Amino acid sequence: MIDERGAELQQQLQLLVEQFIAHLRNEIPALQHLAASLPGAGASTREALADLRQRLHRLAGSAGTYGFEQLGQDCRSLEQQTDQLLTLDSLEQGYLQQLAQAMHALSVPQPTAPQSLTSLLTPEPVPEQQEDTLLYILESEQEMADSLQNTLTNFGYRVQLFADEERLHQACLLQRPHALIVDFDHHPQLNKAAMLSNGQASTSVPLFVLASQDDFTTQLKAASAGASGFLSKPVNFSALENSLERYFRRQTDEPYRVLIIDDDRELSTRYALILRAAGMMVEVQENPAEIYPTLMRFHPEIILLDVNMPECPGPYLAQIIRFHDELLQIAIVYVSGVVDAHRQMDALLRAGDDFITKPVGDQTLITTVFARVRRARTLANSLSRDSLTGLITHANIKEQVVLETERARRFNKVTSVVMLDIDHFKRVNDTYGHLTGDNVICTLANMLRQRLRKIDSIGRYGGEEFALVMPQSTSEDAARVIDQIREDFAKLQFQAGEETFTVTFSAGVTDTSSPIESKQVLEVADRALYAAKTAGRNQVKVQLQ
Amino acid sequence: MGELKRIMHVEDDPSIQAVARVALEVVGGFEVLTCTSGQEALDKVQAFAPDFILLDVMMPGIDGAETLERLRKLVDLTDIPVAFMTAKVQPEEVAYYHSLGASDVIIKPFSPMQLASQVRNIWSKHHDR
Repeated sequence: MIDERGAELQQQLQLLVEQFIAHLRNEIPALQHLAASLPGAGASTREALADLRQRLHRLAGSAGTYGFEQLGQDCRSLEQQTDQLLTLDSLEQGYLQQLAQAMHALSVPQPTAPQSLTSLLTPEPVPEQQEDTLLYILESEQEMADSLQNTLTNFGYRVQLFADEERLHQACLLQRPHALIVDFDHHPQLNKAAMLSNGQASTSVPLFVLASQDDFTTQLKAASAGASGFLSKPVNFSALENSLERYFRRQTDEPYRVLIIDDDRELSTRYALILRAAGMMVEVQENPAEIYPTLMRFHPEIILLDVNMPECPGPYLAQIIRFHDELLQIAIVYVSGVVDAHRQMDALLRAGDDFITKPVGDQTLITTVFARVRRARTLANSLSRDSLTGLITHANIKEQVVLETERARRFNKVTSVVMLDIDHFKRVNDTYGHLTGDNVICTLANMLRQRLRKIDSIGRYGGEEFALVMPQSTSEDAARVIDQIREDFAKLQFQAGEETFTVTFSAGVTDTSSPIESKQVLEVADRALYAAKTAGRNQVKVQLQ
Repeated sequence: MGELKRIMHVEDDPSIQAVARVALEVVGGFEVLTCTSGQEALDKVQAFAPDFILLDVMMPGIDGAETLERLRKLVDLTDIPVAFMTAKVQPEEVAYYHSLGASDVIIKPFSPMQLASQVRNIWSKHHDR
C-alpha cells in the first residue's frame, strides 16, 4: 500500500510536523509569557486574555491534527478556562495567577521518529457510524478470510484483508484501522504495539484474536499481545460481531455530566479542570439557591456537593434535590473536610450517596465520579432497555412512535414506522434450543443497530418482533433500507452445534404522510407486516392506511 | 452535477492551512486555494469558482458564519457545498451551523489521511438530494 504517492506524502507530512514543532518552540513560551503578564496588566487585561484565548484555540485545533493529542487537549481545557474568565464581571488576581500557573504545564512535544510519523498523523476519530468503521483482518486461510469479510461487510463494517504481517504493518502505518482481527493460529507472534509501531496511542485500536486453542495459556498469550477480545474457532460470527459492537458502543458513550456545588471558587475550578481533562462535561454552581434551573438545563448525572456552605449546608441541599422525583437518578456525592464520622453519617442519612474527604487527590476524584456515573448509567439503561438485545423496550418504543409521529407532523416531515418479525422463529427455538434462538434475535438486533442511522429508534416489541421509527424517511426509503437488510440477514449462516442454518424476516412499513392518528400508526405497520407474512414471508410490504 | 476539483479553504491558522493543503492536494488530488481570512475568500471566490468551500468557524475579523452569509450574496451556492471546520462539537452548535446553510461540519482535530474522503462524502451527499 505504500506507493510513490505514499512516500511523497510521508515526506511532506514529516516536513510539516517539523515546521509545526518549530512554531511551537516560539508559540508556547510566548503564550506562557503572555499569561504571566496578565496579573499586572491592569486595563488591558481583557484584551490580553482574548488574545490568549484565540491563540490557545488555534493550538487546540492544530496540535491534535499534527498528532499531538495531549497538547491539543491541554490547550482546549486552557482555552475553556480562559473563556470562563472572560465571562466574569471582575477579574480577580487569584484567577489570573492560577491560569498563568496552569499555562506553565504546557511543553513542546518531542519530535517523533520518522517511521511512525504517518501513524501519529492519523489520530482516529471515534467512528460516528458503523459504516465508517475500518477493520483490518490478518488471516492467511482463504476460506476463513472470505467468510469473515462477507459477514462483517454485511454488518456494515469496512473490511480489508491481509495475508501477511508485513503488508498489514505497512497498511497500519498509512492508515490506522478502528480494530484489528488476527488469526492467532497462523500468527502467534503478532504483537499489537509493534504492529501499530506506536506504543502509546495503540491502546485505542482494539485487537481481537481468533484461535483454535482456548486454554488458559493461549488466552494469556493473547492478552500479552494486547488483545481486547478472544474468540475460539470455529468462530461464531455473531459472537465476534457482538464483541466488536460492544466495544464500539462503549467508545461512543457521551461524556459524563458533572455539576459541582461549592462556595470555594478556587477549589471548584480545580475540580472542574481535573474532570474536564478526563473528558467529562463540568459545570460549577456557586450559589445553592440557583441550583434548580441549572439542574433543569444541564441534566447532570452526578453532583459533587460541598458539605459546609454557610447559607445552605450540603445535606439540606441534597434533601431539597430529593424532593423532586424526576431528579432521583442523579448521584449525590459530598465533598468535605469533615473527618468526623458522626457528621458524615448524619449527612448520608439525610440524603446523598457517598462521601469524599478533602483534600481529594486527582485520581480519587476522577475514579469516584467515573464509577458512580457508570453505575447510574448501567442502571438507567437496564430499566429502559431490553436485557437481551440492549434495544428499547416495548413501552418505550411505543412512546417513541407517538413522539416522532407528532414531531414529524409539527415540522411537516415524513417519518416511517416499521414492524418486523422473524419468520418461523418457533421452529428455530424448537429445533436448536432457546440459546440459539436468543442468538438469532441478538444478531438481528445488532444488524439493525448498525445499518440504521443514529436518529432511528429500534425497539424489541415482543419475543421475535421489532418496531422501528425512522424520522425523515418516506415509506419508500425505509422499505428500501429494510429490504436490503432483509436480503443480507437471510445470507447469514447461524451455527448450532455441527449444523448451520439461515433465518429470514418479514416487515411491514408505513409512514406519516397519510392522516392517521399517531396511536394507530403501529397498527397500520402491523397490517403491512401481516400482508408480508400472508404473501409468503421473507419480504417487505408498504401500507399507508 | 460537475466534478469535485476545486476547493477553497478559508482558515487563519498557518499550521492548519499547510496540513489541509497536503491532505487535499496530495491525498485527495484536488486543486486548493487557501484564504487566510473571510475577506480574502470574498475577494477571490468569483475568480476561483470553487466546487467546495471549507470554512473555519472562529476567525478574527469576519468569522465563518458571517463569511458564509456574504459569500451567498456573491455566488450561487446551490451546487457548492460549504462545510464548517470547528473544534466545538456541541450538538446544538452543529444544528446551528446547519441552519446557516452549511452542508456539514468537520471536526478539528481532523485526520490528514481522511480529510479528502470526508470532503468527498459531503460532496456526494450534497448532490444526492
